[in-house]
Amino acid sequence: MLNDMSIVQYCQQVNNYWNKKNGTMLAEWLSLRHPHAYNKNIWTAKPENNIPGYIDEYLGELMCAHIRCIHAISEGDAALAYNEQSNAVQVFIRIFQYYKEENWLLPVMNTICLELRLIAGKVESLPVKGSHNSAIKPREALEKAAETLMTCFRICSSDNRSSEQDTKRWGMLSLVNQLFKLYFRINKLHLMKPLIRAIDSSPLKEKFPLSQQVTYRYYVGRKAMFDSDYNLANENLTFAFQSCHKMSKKNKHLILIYLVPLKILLGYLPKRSLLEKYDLLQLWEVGEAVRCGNSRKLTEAIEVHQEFFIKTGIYLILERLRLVTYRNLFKKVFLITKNSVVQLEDLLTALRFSESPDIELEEANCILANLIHQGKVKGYISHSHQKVVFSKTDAFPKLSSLT
Amino acid sequence: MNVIRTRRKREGLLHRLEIGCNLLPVKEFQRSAAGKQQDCSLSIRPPQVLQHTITYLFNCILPVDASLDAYNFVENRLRSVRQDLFKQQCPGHIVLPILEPIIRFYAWATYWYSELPGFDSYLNDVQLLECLKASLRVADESSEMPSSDIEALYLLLNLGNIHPLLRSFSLSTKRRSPLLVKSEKLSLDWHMGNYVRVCGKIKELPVLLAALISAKHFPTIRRHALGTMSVAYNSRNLVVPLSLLVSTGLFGDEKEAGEYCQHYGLQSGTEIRPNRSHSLAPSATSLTPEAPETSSAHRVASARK
Repeated sequence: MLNDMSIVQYCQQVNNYWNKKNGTMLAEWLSLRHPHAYNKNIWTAKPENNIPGYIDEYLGELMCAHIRCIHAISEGDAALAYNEQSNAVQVFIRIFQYYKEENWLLPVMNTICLELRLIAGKVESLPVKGSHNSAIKPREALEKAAETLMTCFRICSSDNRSSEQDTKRWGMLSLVNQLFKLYFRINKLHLMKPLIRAIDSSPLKEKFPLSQQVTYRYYVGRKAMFDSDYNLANENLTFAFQSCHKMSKKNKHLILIYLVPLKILLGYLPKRSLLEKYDLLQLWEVGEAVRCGNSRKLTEAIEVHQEFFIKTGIYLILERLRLVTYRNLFKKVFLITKNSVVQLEDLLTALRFSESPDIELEEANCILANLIHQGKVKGYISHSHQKVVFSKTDAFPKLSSLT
Repeated sequence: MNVIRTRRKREGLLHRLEIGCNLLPVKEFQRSAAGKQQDCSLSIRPPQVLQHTITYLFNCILPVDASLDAYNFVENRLRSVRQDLFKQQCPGHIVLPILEPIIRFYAWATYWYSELPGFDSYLNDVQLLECLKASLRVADESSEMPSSDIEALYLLLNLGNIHPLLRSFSLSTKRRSPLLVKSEKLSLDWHMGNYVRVCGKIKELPVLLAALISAKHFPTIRRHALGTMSVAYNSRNLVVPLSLLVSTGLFGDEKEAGEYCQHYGLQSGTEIRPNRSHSLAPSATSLTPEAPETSSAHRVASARK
């Protein structure tokens, strides 16, 4: 049925949902991923003449842009497809603003904004054809998509007069999530701050759909990690992991890429079974090296999967685990000597064994001084006696207790 | 071009380094402003002329006169070179050979003029960063290879900062030269607070990079080291000899270390008395408003020459 549908029939179908104000169905019929997008009868570069006259002017414009976008995708012209989808969103924004104190169009907004982001991402990878080759650069597409989405966000966030049921503010979180994805892609994380503030101060914060909250917390957690705010990152990523649907294994995998190193940094080592379940065995050797206090093993473990760690952005946090590794090593020496006063020479020997034979006493002093300064070790160094005096109570406080 | 030169000559606007034997007038930098007439195409110098201009400035002006006045003159003319260069939107293989010597000039100035009163290190850093970002952007967009020391300079100018580090890690293997990898390790070491390793690795760097770190980051490194030691060696009866500060590579000799510790009120004879509660603020009795860090900066580079 969908494969035989003519443009006029398609327009009638869309118009029906429009008249019934059925946002969900309208969104589906304006989606690029709906079966109608594969109907060759609809593929045309000039759909204007086929739109029946009884259709609302704005809706007609929206459908034209949508059909042109489908046509461009069928031709494999990503840049043109992006331009047409961008036009569709612009027309939609006018419609969205026209319907004040109504939010039935939110599903349409979510769909077309999501697809705008996806096409902007494809501009980089799909073959670019025709005269539009130079019209838009890959990064520019992502940046412009972010600007367009931001316009939608402003409309949603400023809708304060409507009742809670009809407010467009319900669309804020979905847009924020799309924007976060774009900002991570174009590496403009500083733009996330006002959006986080807007969501955190919204009375609807806890009432948004859980799936959107999971995505939001995942990105807030990643940003906090980037800002070295590990407690905030832990809080958000833990929420995201615990609330993520158990069948969404891929999403849980993505969350764990960041949560596991964070937990190791806070002193919790992951079980092998967990890492196996979520296909993250790359982190097993890292965890083991930290547990053993073996800095050389840590370096090797990082080097083996360096590309993966760099790509996912956790390389630096894994390097930060080195201090935890030193702490664990010194704790082992402390436990072996069974004395709160330990020779610096013993620590140096352990360091030379576990990291490199080239390490000098000054560097051992420096590592220990940093650990004491950061509160990871309690005690003091006596330079004149070449000893370290560990605290008699809780010389190695739990990492999770440190702020 | 000749019209502007004649006008400047007539109005007495020529700099002292533009008048005299073997000296030439060089187009000066003019800020774009509302109401100001744009340069006509004839007054914009082509890339070959820009290349000759910087060669002239570096080979004929700076070796003869390296005063602050000469720095200001050269800096102004280099900004004008950059202005002309960017107006023409040249491809990467033309832009990079012009920008890279300019970057090296700013890096050298950071170190060379750091002790001179009247030298504004902030403005110099702004220009350095601007040039670095421009050259790296051009390299990214045109897939041209910038010199390895330029990539390393960007990393070391922002020592310990995670953003340049992440950028550097994500570069293609072809662009990650041994010098860049060494700089990454140094930056990571500083990110982890390992001042001993940082001091050791600085000595392995080329002179320009070592000088930049000495002038730009050494004060922070020393301050961090003293702050860490104040906590780690904190005990009522114990002292730390100045020789430890020397052996870690933070200072050239005990005298210099003593002066520095005195500045922060930590010294007591040939030893320092670490105190956890000490805030490492300059002591009230200190005569110098700033710690004498740059003298050591000169030492690091002069030792390498």
